[in-house]
Amino acid sequence: MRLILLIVLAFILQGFLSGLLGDTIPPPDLIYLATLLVVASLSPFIGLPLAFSIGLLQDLLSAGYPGLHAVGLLLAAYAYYRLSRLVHWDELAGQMVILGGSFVAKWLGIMLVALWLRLGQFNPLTLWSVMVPEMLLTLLIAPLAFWLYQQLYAGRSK
Amino acid sequence: MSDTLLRRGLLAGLLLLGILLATITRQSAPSLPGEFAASIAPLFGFSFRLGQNTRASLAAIFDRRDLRAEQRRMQAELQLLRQENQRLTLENRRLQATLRVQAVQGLGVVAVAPVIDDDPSGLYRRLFLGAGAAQGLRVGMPVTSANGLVGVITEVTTNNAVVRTILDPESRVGVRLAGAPGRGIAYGAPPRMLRVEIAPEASVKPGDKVVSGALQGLYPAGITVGTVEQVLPVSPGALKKVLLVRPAVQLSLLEEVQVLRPL
Repeated sequence: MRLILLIVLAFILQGFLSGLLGDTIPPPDLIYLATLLVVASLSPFIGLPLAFSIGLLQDLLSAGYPGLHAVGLLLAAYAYYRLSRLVHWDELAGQMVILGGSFVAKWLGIMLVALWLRLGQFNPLTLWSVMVPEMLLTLLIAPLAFWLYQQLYAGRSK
Repeated sequence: MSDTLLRRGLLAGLLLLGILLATITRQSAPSLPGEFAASIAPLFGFSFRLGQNTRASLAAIFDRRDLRAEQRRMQAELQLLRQENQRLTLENRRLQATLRVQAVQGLGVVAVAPVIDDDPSGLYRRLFLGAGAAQGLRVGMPVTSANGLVGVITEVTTNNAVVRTILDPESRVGVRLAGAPGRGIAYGAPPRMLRVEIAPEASVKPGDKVVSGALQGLYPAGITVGTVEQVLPVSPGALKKVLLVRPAVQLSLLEEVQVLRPL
C-alpha cells in the first residue's frame, strides 16, 4: 500500500513541478526516483515488472507511446540491481554511480524504443537539452528524496 | 535455472513486451493513451495546475518587485528633473534680471555672480560673491541688480570677490535726484538706510527717487539707489540738506548680482 502511495505521490509532485517550472527548465524525474525507491526494497522478479508497469502508467498518463517509459524504467531498474552489486550504496560515490548509471539506462531504454519506432526526433542530439538538466536536477534532489523516504517509511516500518 | 538467467529472461521478456506494445499501439497513439490520460487527468491535473498557479504567483511577486524598483527609479528621476527644473527656473530668473539690467540701465554686464555670503561682522555691510578673477571680475567694478545699485567690488580672489555695498559705512556714492536738480553724496548708514547730503536748495520730499549721478565716480549714472524716506530739517546757515534714503535693493535678499564693466 505504501508503495502505491509513494508512486501516486511521485506523480502528483511531478505534475506540480512541471507546472511550477513550466518551459524554463525540465523538471527532475521524480517518478524515476520513486521507482528506484520502490524496487530497492523488492526482489528483481517483482521490481522489474513493477518498474515496467510504472513506466507504462507514465506513458498512458502523458498520452505518449505505451512502452517508451516502460522500457526506460525497466532498464533503469535493471541497471540499479546490477550496479548495486558492484558498488556500495552507503557511499556517496556509490550512490552517484548507481543513480547516474540507472538514469543513463533509462534514457537508453527510451532511445531504444524510439529507434525501433523510427521516431526521428527522439535522439540525443535533439533531446540533450532535456536529458542533461533533468539528470542534473534529479541527481541533485535525489539525496533529499531518499532522506524523506527514510523519514516517512523506514522510520515507520521499524 | 539460475536466478541470473531468470532475471535476464524476465528483462528480455519485458523488453520485448514493451517494444511489442509500442509497435502495436503506434497506429492508435496518441489517441489510445490520450483517451486514458484524459480520463485520468482530473486526478493528477490539480497538482499541475497548483504548480502553474504557484509559478504565476511567484512571477507576480517578482513582477511587483520589478515594479517597485521601477517606481523607485522613476521617483529618483523625477527628483532629478525637479532639481533640474528648479535650476533652470533660477537660471531663467537670473538671465531675465541680466536682460532687465541691460535694458534699463544700458550697461555692459561682465558677469552674473551668485551671492554666497554676508559680512559676518555686522559692522560692515559687505557681500561675498561666488565669482572672482577667473570669471573676469576686477576691483572697482560696480555691482548692481535689477532693482538698483548694490555696491562696488573691493577685493578679488581667483573665484571669489568682496562687494562693499552702498550701506557700508565706508561707502560713498555720488547721487542726484531723479525728478529734480540736485547732486549729493550718499553715505552708508547701517543697518538699512543711506544718509544723503545734498545742496540745501534742492527741492526734495519723501518718496522721491535717488539715482547714481556722479559723472566721474565709481558708478554709472542713472542707476536707482533708493527712495527718500525722510528729509531732516535744515538748520539755519547749514551747508547741506540731509536725507534718509531707503535703498532700492534689499541686500539681505540678494541671491545674484550683475557685475558691470568699470568706468
